[in-house]
Amino acid sequence: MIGLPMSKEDMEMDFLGEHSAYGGTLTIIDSESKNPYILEFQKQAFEAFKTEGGFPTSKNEDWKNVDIDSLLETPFKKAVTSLPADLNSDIDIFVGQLSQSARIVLVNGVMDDILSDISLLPTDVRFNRFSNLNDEDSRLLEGVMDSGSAPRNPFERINSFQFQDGVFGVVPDGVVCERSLHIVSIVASKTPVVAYPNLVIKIGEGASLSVVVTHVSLCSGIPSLDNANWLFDISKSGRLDYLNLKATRRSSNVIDTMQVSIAEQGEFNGAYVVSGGNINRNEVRVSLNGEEATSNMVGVGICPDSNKLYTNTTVDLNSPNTDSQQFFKSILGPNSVNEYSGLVYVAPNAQKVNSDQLNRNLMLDDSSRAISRPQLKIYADDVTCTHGSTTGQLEGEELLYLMSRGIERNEATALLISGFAEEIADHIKNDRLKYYAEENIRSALMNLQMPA
Amino acid sequence: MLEIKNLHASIAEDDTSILKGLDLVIQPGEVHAIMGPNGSGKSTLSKILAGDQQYQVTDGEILFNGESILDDDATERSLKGLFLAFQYPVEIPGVNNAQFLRMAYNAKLKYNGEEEVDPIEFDDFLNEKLALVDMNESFKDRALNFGFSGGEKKRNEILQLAVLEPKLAILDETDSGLDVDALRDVSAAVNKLRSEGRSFLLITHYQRLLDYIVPDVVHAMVGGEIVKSGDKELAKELDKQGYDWVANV
Ligand SMILES: Nc1ncnc2c1ncn2[C@@H]1O[C@H](COP(=O)(O)OP(=O)(O)OP(=O)(O)O)[C@@H](O)[C@H]1O
Ligand SMILES: [Mg+2]
Repeated sequence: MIGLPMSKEDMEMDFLGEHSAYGGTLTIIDSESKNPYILEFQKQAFEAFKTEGGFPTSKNEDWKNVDIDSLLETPFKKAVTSLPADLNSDIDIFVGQLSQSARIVLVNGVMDDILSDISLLPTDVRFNRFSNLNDEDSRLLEGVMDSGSAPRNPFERINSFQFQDGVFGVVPDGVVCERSLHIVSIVASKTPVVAYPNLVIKIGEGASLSVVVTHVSLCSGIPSLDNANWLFDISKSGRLDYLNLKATRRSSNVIDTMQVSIAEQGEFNGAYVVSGGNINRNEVRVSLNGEEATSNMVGVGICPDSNKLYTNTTVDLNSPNTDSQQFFKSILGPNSVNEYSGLVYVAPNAQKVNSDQLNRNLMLDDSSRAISRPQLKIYADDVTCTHGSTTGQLEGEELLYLMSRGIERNEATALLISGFAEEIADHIKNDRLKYYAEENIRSALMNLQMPA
Repeated sequence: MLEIKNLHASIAEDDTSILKGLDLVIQPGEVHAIMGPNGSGKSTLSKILAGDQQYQVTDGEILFNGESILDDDATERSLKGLFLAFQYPVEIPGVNNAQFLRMAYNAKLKYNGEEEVDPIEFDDFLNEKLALVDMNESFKDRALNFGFSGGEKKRNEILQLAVLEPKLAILDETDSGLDVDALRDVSAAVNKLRSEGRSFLLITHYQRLLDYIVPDVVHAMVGGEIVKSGDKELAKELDKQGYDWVANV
């Protein structure tokens, strides 16, 4: 069917599929298997999407640099879970690498009960599809979803009304998980598709969990979009260590939105390692809701060639004596873009809080671009908030130092670049996650073209 | 060992001239000291010797073991046996100190046609060197100079000197910012490394260092030139009378 170029409205409708966009009514897939709470949540998200502007436009500061048009121009359809045999065997091979690990496997946005296995975690830990929850967990889920903020950004809203079946994980009070949990979001298709994973995890009082999230596209050359929503609720003195790995192919896109709420003395340690991919947008909104809650986020984006990375963090320091650290770096090869937006909000009563934010970009090529948008909104007076950003090329002084010790120029350059990236791993507290991050950083660096 | 003839050099970017006809000859095994006022070009000289490309040599010659090194980059000069302990060592987060030292050491072994060492062998060797400069073994796990105190950075430079065992070591104000004990440790380490085949060029503002490391020759450098040379008594004289005294002769 070759016809006239589609209008923007047509492309938007096409992207949304059965929801016939702004004018339409919402038809929810599998609505009979969904509980009324989830149905209502999805309807509200759809209404919000319709009434609050739909897709992002160039007027939206948080999205204006993201090339939404290129996504809309791609004939994406919502991904399905029944797949041809060859794709299923690709998935099996991939998941086979995790046979010794506790894992939750999402295929095209939906948890696969057969591929997932968390028997290595303490027995009280449970992960189930929304459609598979008992009454108690349903109520628990509703409580968590109620305490989170309503979906705010356009793609978060789209996920909220498009997702087919979410996943709810519970680490009960006092349960400490020694092993890491791997969550793999696989997008597999032979035509351009969007997957909509939606995950909610509740960390109980004094409980702890470490999670490695990997985004994988098994679409060999076909464009894919992983549009995921995450909601983490960390109870009093709970701890979540989180590592997000996106080492994706040229044709794959990931748009992630994560909400984290942390009660008193709770701790969130988030790390993000992104390399390659077409568009990668990562939005994290952290609320520190109790005294002595802490959030520590670090990230590094490695862009070998023509990759577009957007990291958007919002940290709300809502309680006294809370602490947050944001440290994001990027290494930019030819034609790559990195944008870091970091908003720190300190509530009026939140005295004695501390927040440090730093964004550093290393440009390996003149054709790359780094955008840094720090924002501070401080309504308390006894606070320490710092932020800084640097963008530049490799330091001549550092290169001289290494070379003056007999290290060849190329080797010294490589050492400086890897040192720049690996500093991020040095900030990861959990040893397992640190190890995974280092591995991924190292292999991502191998794809970089060294500057002359 | 080192022969500098009529060296003129300027900042590459804007042609500001800094060295204005400097001559210096250091024989094997000799220890020379350069003293001079702030901004007289001492660090510039040392960085030019190390191969810093932000400066350009506009006239004159630098011979190292009889050969010109002007066309060599910093790596080659180091491999040939030249070492600079920087006045302000840079901090390089993300690069592990011990790994860096092993890379540098292996680069030297490879250049000399010797077999490279593995991390375990190197660790023993490094522990000896750490003891020599009285540094705690925990410095192996730190990032290169990152978060080091001023004195720790200076010790780390001497550690590198001890690991690389160069033929000519230039110490640019290694004594500045060291406490009395550190000064004694560092001096002892340098004295231990003194040998017939190894020369030193010490850049300092303090005659006191030269009580610990006794120089063969002392030079006064003013305005990008060496204006007076003598034995260790010259250092005492400069200490007493200041630089106007030599600048005006
Ligand atoms: N890259 C540069 N850009 C601009 N000016 C420079 C540069 N390098 C050196 N200079 C200038 O050249 C002069 C000599 O500097 P140098 O650092 O060599 O002095 P120094 O003798 O080592 O002084 P100090 O005793 O304070 O260490 C100074 O005026 C300095 O500002
Ligand atoms: Mg100096």
